Amino acid sequence: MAGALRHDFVRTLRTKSVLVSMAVIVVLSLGLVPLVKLATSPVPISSGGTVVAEYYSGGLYHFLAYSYNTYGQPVSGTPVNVTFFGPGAPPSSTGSTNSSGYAAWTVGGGLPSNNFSFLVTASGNELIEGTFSPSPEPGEVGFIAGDILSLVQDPANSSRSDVLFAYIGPNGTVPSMYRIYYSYGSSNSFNQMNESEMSFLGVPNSYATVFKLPQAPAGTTTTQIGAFDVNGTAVASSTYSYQVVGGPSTPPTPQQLFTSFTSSILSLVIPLMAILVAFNTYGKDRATGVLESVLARPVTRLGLGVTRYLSSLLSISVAIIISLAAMEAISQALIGKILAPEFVLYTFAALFVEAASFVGLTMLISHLLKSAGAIEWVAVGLWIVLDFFWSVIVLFGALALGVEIGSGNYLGVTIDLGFLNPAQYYGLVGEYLNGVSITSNGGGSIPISPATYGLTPLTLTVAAVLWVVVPLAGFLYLARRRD
Amino acid sequence: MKIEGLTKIFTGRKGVLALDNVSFSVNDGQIVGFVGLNGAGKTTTIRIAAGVSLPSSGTVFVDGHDVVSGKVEASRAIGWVPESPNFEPNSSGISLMQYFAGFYGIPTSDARARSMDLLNSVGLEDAETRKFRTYSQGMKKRFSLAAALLSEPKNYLFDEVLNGLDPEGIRYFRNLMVELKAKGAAVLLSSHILVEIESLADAVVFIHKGRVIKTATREELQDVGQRMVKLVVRNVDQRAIAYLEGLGSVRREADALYLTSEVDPARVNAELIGMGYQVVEFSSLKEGLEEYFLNLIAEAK
Repeated sequence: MAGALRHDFVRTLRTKSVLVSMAVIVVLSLGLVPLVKLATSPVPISSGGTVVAEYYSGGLYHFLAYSYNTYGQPVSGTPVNVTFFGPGAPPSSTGSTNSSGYAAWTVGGGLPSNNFSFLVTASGNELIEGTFSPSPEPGEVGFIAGDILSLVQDPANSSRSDVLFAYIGPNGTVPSMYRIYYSYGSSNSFNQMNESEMSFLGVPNSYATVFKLPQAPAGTTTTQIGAFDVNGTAVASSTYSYQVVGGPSTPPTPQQLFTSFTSSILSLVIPLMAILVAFNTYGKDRATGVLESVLARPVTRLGLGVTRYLSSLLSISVAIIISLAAMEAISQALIGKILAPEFVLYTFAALFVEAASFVGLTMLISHLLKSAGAIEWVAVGLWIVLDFFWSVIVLFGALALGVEIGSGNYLGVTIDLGFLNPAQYYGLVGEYLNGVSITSNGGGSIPISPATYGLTPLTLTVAAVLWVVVPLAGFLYLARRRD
Repeated sequence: MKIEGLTKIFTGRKGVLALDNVSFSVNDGQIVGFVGLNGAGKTTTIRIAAGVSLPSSGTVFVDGHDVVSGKVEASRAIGWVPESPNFEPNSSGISLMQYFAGFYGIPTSDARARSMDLLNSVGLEDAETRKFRTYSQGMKKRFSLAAALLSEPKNYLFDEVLNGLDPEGIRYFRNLMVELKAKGAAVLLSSHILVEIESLADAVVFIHKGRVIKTATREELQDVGQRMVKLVVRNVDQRAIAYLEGLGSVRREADALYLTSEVDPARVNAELIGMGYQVVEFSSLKEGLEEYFLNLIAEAK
């Protein structure tokens, strides 16, 4: 039997479908070259900003500015300009942020009796233009330009968001009298922010403080963040729909890009390769009668089926390994890094499950249809539906269930239905390992525990076993019982 | 080979009864002809016996092994040459032979030499590295035979094996079957070429619409045909015909009269001459296997 397995393995590995599939994978991988070059070029920081606060005290206008990058970290050398307009207005002034991101300066002048206009710019970009009203109480904040509360990216995890609170207390003190709260909601309505109904996030310990948001639970549709004074009055608040919560996006690293591209190519090509291999190894031979020349030998139907199944899987496994090796070589050549070993391992394992499932399904179909053409087209059609039109099926399924598109429940439906599709298995494993999150229109995301949606090692293992065993069992049953 | 109560129903929209309780045996050292019209069930029977098709009921025993429950042992003891051999088209003859050798437990080290010997013995010595799809029909049958001989089985199934062969090929297979018989093998030969069956078979199984309608030994076949006398009488008239009808059944074709009767032909000839008729042609015939077979079919209908 070992000889038969070897013969079938070598024969399968030499089939056009395997060779062409591997070539397609490599050629598509080479298509990454321009993308990777794009990704490795310097990308300007698109997010970040400057907050400027003003208060009047002791006959002086006091200005404090904080300039930060996409992570909320200080940015030095940012020029900040404040211009007043109108009779009696104080003169224009300029500050420049230091290495801590701060700039503090004063401008002399008495409080005017009338309102006057002002313009604040940072690095030449307008932050605010408005009408200045003299502060009723000396030392109180006169105006604030920029966002007091803003979402910044977690420097340790690009898929997570942090909260930056930038403000000043009375007379320019550190705003430690404020409390920062947050809440995650599961309805689409925006509730009035109430400190007592929110979760405590922290107390500012400087003019600009970054707070880490905890993991959002499943079904989260809104996020609210508020800064409250001792009286429970919100001095700043932000409410986000699920779609816009998250940190500013950063361009993917070349390795991330390569990993993502590799995943996309392999998850698309490997199932098709499995179908074609199973068809060439079994379906076509069965439909054309070639299989009978083997069945006439001292071998049982079960034995022949198992041998062909194993040789197909072995060939596909080798093809996956060769493809991954080719991608490793391309990765090394392009970005000087190899793919992460964990990524390679889980990619192989998950694709193996997909391949085993599609091989079993195709061989099962081979016993349900009689012509080679029908077998091939039904199997390929199955792949087209499960790989290309699955998102449409999920969409209609969600609509039928009354689930709002883009909500947390929609993500749950997507994952639940993913368990019903062997072509989605690789994606499910990836979501389990890399985390589930909702990407906002602005590029941010809220990370959610995969277990919340049933993505656990146990469920993934059960799904893998079922997707391998059920088609195989069906195929072997028919192979034994049907001509 | 022992076929017992074999029934095959092809399932589908309209279930087709292809075999209906077919039973017969092929003993060691015996060639059994398997005769029937197209669609009678010959190939279906042979395919089940070869283990490539499943019976709906009934069994086929090969050297005591059931081809279904004892498939491996039964297949080891039987060689099958189908009417249209179908092997992996892109594999070479030698690689296919080595592949099959693995199923028979022939060590890899011996498989190539044994395969080459067999390919040589069937006349494919120059074609072993050619892909199967490039083989002619005759070469395919020879290759199929070589594959069937790999395990030197004692039982053979030849399904219309003489069809499409040139005279040299027919002679090759004819001689081979005689050799196999001499070595004590059991051979089941289905063929439309009834002359070959008549000359080779020790017994003939006649099948029609999935049912065995007659099984006859060689000895029985020698007697099954009725004697026939062909007469061409120049001045034949009603009196002559009445005379002949008194001896047996008479059929007239053009100038010839065919008398089917057990009466001594010489006596018929002498009496007709004595009656004043001019018998210009006189020959004694015996009904052949073909006529016999067609008569059986007619009776079955």
